Amino acid sequence: MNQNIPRFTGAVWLTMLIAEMFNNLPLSGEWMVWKPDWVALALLHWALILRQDSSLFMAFFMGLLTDVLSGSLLGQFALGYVMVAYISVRLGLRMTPDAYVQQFALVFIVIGLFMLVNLWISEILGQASGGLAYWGPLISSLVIWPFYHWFLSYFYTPRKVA
Amino acid sequence: MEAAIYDVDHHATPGLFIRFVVLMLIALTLMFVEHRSPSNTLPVRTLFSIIGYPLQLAVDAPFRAYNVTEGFFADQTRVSKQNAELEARLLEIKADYRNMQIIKQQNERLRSLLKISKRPDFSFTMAEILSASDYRGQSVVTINKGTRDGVFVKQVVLADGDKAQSKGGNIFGQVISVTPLSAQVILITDLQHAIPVRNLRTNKRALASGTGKPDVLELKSIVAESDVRDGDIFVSSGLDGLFPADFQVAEVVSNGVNYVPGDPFANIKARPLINFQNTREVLLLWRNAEPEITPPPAAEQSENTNNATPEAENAQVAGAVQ
Repeated sequence: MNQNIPRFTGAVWLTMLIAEMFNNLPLSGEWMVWKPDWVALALLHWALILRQDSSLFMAFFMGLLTDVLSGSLLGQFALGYVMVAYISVRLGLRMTPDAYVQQFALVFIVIGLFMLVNLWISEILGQASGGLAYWGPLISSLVIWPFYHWFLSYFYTPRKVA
Repeated sequence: MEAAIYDVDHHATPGLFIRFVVLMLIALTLMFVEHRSPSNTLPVRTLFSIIGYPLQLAVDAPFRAYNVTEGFFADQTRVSKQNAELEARLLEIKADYRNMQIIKQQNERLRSLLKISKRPDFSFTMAEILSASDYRGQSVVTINKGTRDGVFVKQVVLADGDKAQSKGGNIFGQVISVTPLSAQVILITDLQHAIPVRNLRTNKRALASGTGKPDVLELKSIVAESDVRDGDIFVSSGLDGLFPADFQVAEVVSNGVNYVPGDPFANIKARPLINFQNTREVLLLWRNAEPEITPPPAAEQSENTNNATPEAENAQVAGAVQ
């Protein structure tokens, strides 16, 4: 059985920081609607690659960082990211990691759940809801996923395990 | 083959569930605590914004580099032309400023004659916007000045207007949290933000509240029969004691005044006088400590009340006349 390991020490953290930077890119209004959550997608990627070795603490940490940088309620993204990491590890173990159709299904379910939880929290807090436009990032996540998955494949190497 | 499939233990993730539950509980607790009283989680926020500061700088770097190099490689003739224009403008502004100072002195003298308290004096510092988040109608930007530069919570932030006649300080927002190197500023268009304003033309007061959209403000509590026209400028009224008075805030958009039958208040849409998307620099505002000049009138008043018999005096006078 093949096991994947990070290409170098801190590779996973590096991808997380890159994803966080993507999250903070200033985009103009019409692009903002389609902005996927890069950190959530990176967590999904590592859940498929490292499987049960991916870290929930890292997800939690990145969540708090996102909360502070985006000005949302502290703990909101932490909750969402931990959920993304956990569910994708559990579901990822049950699927063929290389099958794209299954990957798309996983991205759709996990990112959809993540956004739904965020929507609930925002509604409880009485923040504005953008109508259907809120779900734009779900579509763009699916579109961007193969490229992002390929880009992040640089950061790990397969290792033969006896 | 079958054995290979069934050999996989789907539950071979020792401790994962426990970690999941613990982290979810911590996250829920954090959210609960912050929702109840945001000041309790401030240390965590400060810590993470210090950690995130290099990231924000890194994201901002390409844009800053672009701005710098654009200036560097800009056409020589264009730069010299621009320079000449700017110098001419500076001369104009210097003359204006001289004039302003005279008017200011006159104003102060008149105010002291009328025994009105002095208009507060302000000082400014420029700050740059590092990153803007537009998370679910919450409009917050991070600026590159923090407690180290004397920034404090609830400090008023101004920015340059987007129109020729509204150049200069228009109200941008206020500081909501500060770290040593950066601060977060909530924009006046944020859904949860409101600022007391008054109509520059009629002096009618209103409340400009954010809608979560970067180019729309709603003017509330204006009664339906009051006189508001398209293009009316609203300035801060200073009634909240937070925003200084007479800084421009919003302009009524064309066809922005609507009346709903039965609604005692008019439904007025306005446009903030700042282009939030293009603003890169903001001004932080400090109220200068002013010498107290209020005691004299208060003292006079107390003398009057000590005499306590103006009516009696009047009556005496009246009696004398009679």
